Amino acid sequence: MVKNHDDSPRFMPWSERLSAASYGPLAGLAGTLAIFGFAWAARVLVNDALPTGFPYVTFFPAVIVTAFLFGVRFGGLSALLCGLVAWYYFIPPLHSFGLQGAEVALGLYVFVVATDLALIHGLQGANRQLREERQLSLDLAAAKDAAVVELRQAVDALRESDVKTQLATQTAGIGIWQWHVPSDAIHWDSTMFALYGIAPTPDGSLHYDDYIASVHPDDVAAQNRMLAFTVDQCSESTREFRIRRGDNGRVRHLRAVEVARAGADGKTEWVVGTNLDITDQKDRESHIQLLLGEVNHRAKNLLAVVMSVARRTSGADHETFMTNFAARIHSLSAGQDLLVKNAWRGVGLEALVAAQIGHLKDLIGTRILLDGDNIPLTASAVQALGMALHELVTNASKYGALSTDSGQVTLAWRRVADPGGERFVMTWDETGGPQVSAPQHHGFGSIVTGDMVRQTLDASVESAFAASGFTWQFECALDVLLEKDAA
Amino acid sequence: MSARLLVVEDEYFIAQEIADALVAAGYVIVGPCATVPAALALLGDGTSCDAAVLDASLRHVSSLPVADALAERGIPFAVVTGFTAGQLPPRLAEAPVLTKPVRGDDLVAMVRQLLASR
Repeated sequence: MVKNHDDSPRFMPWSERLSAASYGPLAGLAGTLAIFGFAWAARVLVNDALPTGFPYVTFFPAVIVTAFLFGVRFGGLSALLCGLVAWYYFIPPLHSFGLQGAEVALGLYVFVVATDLALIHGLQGANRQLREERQLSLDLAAAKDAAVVELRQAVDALRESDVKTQLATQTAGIGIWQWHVPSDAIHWDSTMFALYGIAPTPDGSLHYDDYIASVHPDDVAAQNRMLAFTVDQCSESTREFRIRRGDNGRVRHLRAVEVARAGADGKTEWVVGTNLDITDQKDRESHIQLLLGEVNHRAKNLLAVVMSVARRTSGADHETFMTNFAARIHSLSAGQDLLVKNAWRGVGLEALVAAQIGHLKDLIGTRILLDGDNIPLTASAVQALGMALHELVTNASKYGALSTDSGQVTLAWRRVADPGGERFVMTWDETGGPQVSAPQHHGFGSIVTGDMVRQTLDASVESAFAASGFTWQFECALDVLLEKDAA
Repeated sequence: MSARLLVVEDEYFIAQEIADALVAAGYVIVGPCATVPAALALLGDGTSCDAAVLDASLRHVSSLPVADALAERGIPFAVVTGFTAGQLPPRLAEAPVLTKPVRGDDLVAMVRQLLASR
């Protein structure tokens, strides 16, 4: 709270207090006449006790006090009245304004009174000036106090805003830096050091070369060029570059935004900027690009497959053709669904088998026996193996072990160690079904379970139509169908 | 004697479609090859061919080495791709480009031009 700086009389001497008080003209006149009357009465009272020659003894103080209290103008009035009374009553010849021998006494009176009035006038003027100056200095002190309070509030607000900004940028992972170009002094906040994996310096200072040392060698030239341009043109820039973190050497992608500020000479003095780690965003972008490429590729491929399926699907009449064709398209679509669900990465072999067995899945565990560990598959393996399994299941339910009430199928797969690299083996064994024999011509099914998987997966495939049941053996390098980048 | 055409394509059904269209037009097919090493091996062992149809990417690997080997031997080739021509590396984009899915008639017409350009 600002102190009350009014011109309080408490701080003034009594004399000043009296003279400083402002009296109205009527009060001044009344006071003047009262003092004059009092002086006159006093002079009459002391008259007998005084020897001759002291006509003004009570009048001098009256004039001085009047001038002091009510100003020089009333002082002059008092002097005139006192002088006339003294002249008439107390200077011989008494009771007359005669001048016989009174010239010296009157002259002395005028001189003394004029001097008194002049002195008091000067004194009061000096006093007034002093008061004004004191008031001025009090006003100045008050203004200074107010300015200090205001400044302190501004500093507090600034500090609070700084803390808030730092909290916000820290939470968002945004590092802030300043570069004083003439001295090559750079200041980093704590988030900057965290972004770069560098131990913070005590005062956050470092040099341009320290920064460049963290930048990926392939990106150094571009950063030097862009920053030099920003300094040269006193402009703004946005950069994306890679760094190697100081603590673990990992490559991270950063986005930097900076703005240059000119000094008094018009040249860049300060550059202030931010850094943000955008590695996750970059990863997502490249994954999306990969997916889009994959989608495009697979869509075109699927169309070719559909055309091929349509051309090669047999059927005595349109209805039979449509039934066979729809079943194959459905199988393709089931494989596609699995790929989409897994973002084209690492569809499990178990899920693929379950999807392709489809409507016969109630038989799993009784007439369809599965044996093997789950393996994440590549997209092309999902499609090729999926189609082959569909043809095997369809064939078994039409002509093989699943066409009767008692036949069984065993689908088994395993990894096999090999000096040339791990292999993958899958077998389809039908037992208990009707007697089978090799078909007369190669239909679409035998192309899919034969040449198609053979070429697509560099596999060796063998189909055998034994009297006890159909068997299918598939073998390829594990690498060809194993998805390494499983989601 | 009919011209011999090398087909390099990793997608089985697309390779079959291409081969079917070319066989129907009277050509003899060499391959199809599904990988870069398989195609290079075939070119390296002296198997003769008069022109080639080349997929731009074989199992996610660029078929550029095959294109270079063909150019070295003076064998003209057309590029088949699921991508747009702008996404191809320059030496592949210089060749005639067909985008998937390929129409049989377009393919045969392009092969005729390749053979005529020799």
